[in-house]
Amino acid sequence: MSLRINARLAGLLIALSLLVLLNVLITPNFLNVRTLAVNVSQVATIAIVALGMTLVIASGGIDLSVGSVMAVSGALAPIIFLSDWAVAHPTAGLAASIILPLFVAAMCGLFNGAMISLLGVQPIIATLIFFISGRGIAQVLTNGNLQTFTNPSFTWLGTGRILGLPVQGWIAVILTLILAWVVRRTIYGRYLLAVGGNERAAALAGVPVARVKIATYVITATLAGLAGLIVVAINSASDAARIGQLMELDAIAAAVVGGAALSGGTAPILGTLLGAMFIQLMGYTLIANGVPDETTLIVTAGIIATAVWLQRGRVR
Amino acid sequence: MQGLTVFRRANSHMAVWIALAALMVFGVLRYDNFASAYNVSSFLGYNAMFVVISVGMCLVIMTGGIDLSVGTVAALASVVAAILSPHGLIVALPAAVVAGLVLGGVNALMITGLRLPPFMATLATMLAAKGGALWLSDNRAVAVDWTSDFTALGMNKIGPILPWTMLVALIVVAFAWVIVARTSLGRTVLAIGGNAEAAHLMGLKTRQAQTFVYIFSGGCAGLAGVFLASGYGAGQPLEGAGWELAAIAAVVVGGTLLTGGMGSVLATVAGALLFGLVFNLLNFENGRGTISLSAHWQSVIRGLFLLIVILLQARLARPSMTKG
Repeated sequence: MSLRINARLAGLLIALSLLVLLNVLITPNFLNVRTLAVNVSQVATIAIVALGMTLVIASGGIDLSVGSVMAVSGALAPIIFLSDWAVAHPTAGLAASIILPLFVAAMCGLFNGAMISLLGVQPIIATLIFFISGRGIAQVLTNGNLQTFTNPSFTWLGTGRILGLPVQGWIAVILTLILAWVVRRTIYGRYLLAVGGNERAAALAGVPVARVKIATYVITATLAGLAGLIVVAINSASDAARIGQLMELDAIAAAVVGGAALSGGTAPILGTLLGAMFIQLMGYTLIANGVPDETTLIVTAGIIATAVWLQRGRVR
Repeated sequence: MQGLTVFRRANSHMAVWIALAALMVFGVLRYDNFASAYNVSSFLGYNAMFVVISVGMCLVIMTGGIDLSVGTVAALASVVAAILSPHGLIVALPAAVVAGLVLGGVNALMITGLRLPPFMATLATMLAAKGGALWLSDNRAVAVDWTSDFTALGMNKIGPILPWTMLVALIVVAFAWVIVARTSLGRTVLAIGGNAEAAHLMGLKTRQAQTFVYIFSGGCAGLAGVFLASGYGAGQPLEGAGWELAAIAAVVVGGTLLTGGMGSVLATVAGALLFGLVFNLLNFENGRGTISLSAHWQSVIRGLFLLIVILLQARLARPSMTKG
């Protein structure tokens, strides 16, 4: 089991290294802190959402609502710190503009999880509800307007640097390490894999299936909420119509390339980070070398299909 | 027991018809021009493309599969149709539908041949079709040739009410209904959704049926693309985002379970029309001027509708599930 996962990780690492090597040879100015920073800041939000998606996929589910949750939290934050109260109390206002959106995001996850585990609605349908209406709610909140702002302490989330690398990159790495530990070393992690592997057996063995699933969707939605805040911070602007659009597909692709099986039961957290990096770097390679966007889409499609196909051979 | 299941099944299909009828009565009573020929015909014209993709999706979901590629396949087909529009409808329409059929064939090949999960296989096709649409169109909307007869399909109607696109859509609906209700292929489609392994072991041609539903869904998406280009005068490579989910929602509201094995083509049509009607009513409500709900409420209300229907279905489905 662990040997298999390690082989997969090694394969991904080799693919990534080859890609880096290729770039060193053909892409101008590739070995450059700036190039690194650009790639890190672009991949971080996808990676953060994809980590949550990996947990959901491990439970045998899927979450289509992550992009909409990003839009809701991204729309809420500026509303809060631009309010009169927050302007009067900057520190409390900043804290509220981070904590409240994350709380609302978690509530979205609670809704998803409750629909799925208590009412028995299929994950794709349950999360479709919020996929459709969540972005609408975000647009209603902002009246559909673009909210622009200057708030250096908030935008630090998206534009700050620690040791020369973007803050959100560090956040993604830290979250990866935490979740990798959670999956391997906590009871929740064991339960999660048990539920995804064989739900009936897990339930008969006394695993609190409903609670595990609800927790999983709450974690995923909270991570999506965080990603929404980061996107808004990067742009110093919040556009409810655009934040997190198509994020569900990017996140699913990263998780699958990283080795997650849609049937559930595996949660390759480190693989997901590498998968997100691989897709990002592949896209960057093509664009930096003048390959048009549309070809990049087709190549991404090929990568996803190949990754899933490789997985099929492995499972049976 | 059998009788009870049939009763519940009929019930979950009835819900969508009742909701559709209730909304229509509400609209007729509340708004002056709701039942006008102009509103009815533009409603039917606009929703023809959603009806066809929903019907294609319905057959796929009956097998327990899913087709995420319909939106971008429709976009690609609309570009193909627009490019070929100078040669007239007789060339543009079949060519765009064939483009859809081919992409459906690619889905079928990945799913039955390589045994990829439908979700991932059609996700890959979704991205590839978008790339293809952008490549063909050089990244912008492609104007159709207004001098040829191509736009007649999307602009003209039969009598005061029925647009040609809706008539074509209804023919597709009738075709799908006959397949599901009256042919062994349709029985196989439902059997795969019920239990793929058992269906295969019973000697049913499961691969053939799966291949059929994905190709059919691709063809439906291609046709929707023709409607799009013909009705709006341009092939639109960036259109179609979220159509797959709208189609899935229509199928689910129509009472077809995502686990497959049962479902109704006609109730799916009602589901597609229901979502269109919500939008139409919202426009009328805003027109009255008493309240002003922005367009953003549209998706919120659609989501609420989906939620209500799912809650109703969950109540209906639950007792029969516990009894096995």
